Amino acid sequence: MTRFLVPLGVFLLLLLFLGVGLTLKPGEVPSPLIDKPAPAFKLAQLGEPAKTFSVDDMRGRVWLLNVWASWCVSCRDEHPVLLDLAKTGVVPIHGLNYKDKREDALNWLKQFGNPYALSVSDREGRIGIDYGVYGVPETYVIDKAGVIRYKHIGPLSGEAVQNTIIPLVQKLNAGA
Amino acid sequence: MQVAAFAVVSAIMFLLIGATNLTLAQTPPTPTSPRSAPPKSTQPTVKDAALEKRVLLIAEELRCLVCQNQTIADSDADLAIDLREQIRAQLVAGRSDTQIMEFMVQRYGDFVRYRPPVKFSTAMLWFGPFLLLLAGAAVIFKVAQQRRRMTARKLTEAEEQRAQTLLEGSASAVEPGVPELPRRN
Repeated sequence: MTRFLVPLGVFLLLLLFLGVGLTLKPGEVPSPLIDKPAPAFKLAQLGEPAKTFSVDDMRGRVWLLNVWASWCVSCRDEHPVLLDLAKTGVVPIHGLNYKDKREDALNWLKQFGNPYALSVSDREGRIGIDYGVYGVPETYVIDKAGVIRYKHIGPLSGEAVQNTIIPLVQKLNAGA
Repeated sequence: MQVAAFAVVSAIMFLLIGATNLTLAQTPPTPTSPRSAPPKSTQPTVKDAALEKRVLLIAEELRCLVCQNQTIADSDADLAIDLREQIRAQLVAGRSDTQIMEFMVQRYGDFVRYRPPVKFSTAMLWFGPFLLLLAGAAVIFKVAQQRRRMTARKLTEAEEQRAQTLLEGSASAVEPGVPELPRRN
């Protein structure tokens, strides 16, 4: 009996491992910044470079920080989703324009629409490093106390917004 | 034997899956735009040689997050270039190797280190290969034991005699009661 049971067991285990392997996303490195204060920055705004924006300006509000760039192809896929989310007014979205030329970024927003309350320019990608950005787009959910509660790597899908982002924002807004 | 084989197979699968996942890892888009201003230190002068050496030593310990099978030192991804620049700037500012390593781990997690620290979540990574080795040794030991048992059993005296007569091919010596096989000619 064991003659058959053992190979069967090995086979099932193999299936299990391969199955689990399929669901893993090794490209998504878990961020050590979850539940840590969002790294501080004070950067010039993209639209009005004379004005600055810092994380502290958003104290007391739940908000999204979306890392984007005009050279980023998957940002285009994500863009309609962000525009829809911005339209609902559930949560303010701020953009971190990552390693981009100002003119390119402004043109891009003009062409595809602007879902951002405002964007800031991270010209050298220095703030991106502080946030552990390694692929654009990336989206951070930051709570009222300025703590990063969630990080989404890669383009946001409509489903991710509906199933993860919005419920989380509502929970955080409720004071959790 | 079977338990050991089971352990070996599962351990191999575990490692295989890890390996395929790494090679299949998605590569986030790399910026195609030309870099703003080429960092001054990309062309090291003789004076910088020692500094560059230290930069590379640290960079070789760090995994490039864009192309995960390369080190920061190897990779030409934009992020790797930026992080090398970061290491360089911090060394110039007088920070120690350990401080720089901490800086990276704080931002990218243990994953960024090619030699992750030994802790519970990395135990399989560190000790898995030794477990595999042990399991393999167990299998070999068992197989060898079985084989020895198969060859080592001595014949009883009666068996020995019978084997002898059979070998000699003497038909008359066949035990009574055992029908003689028809001879083929």
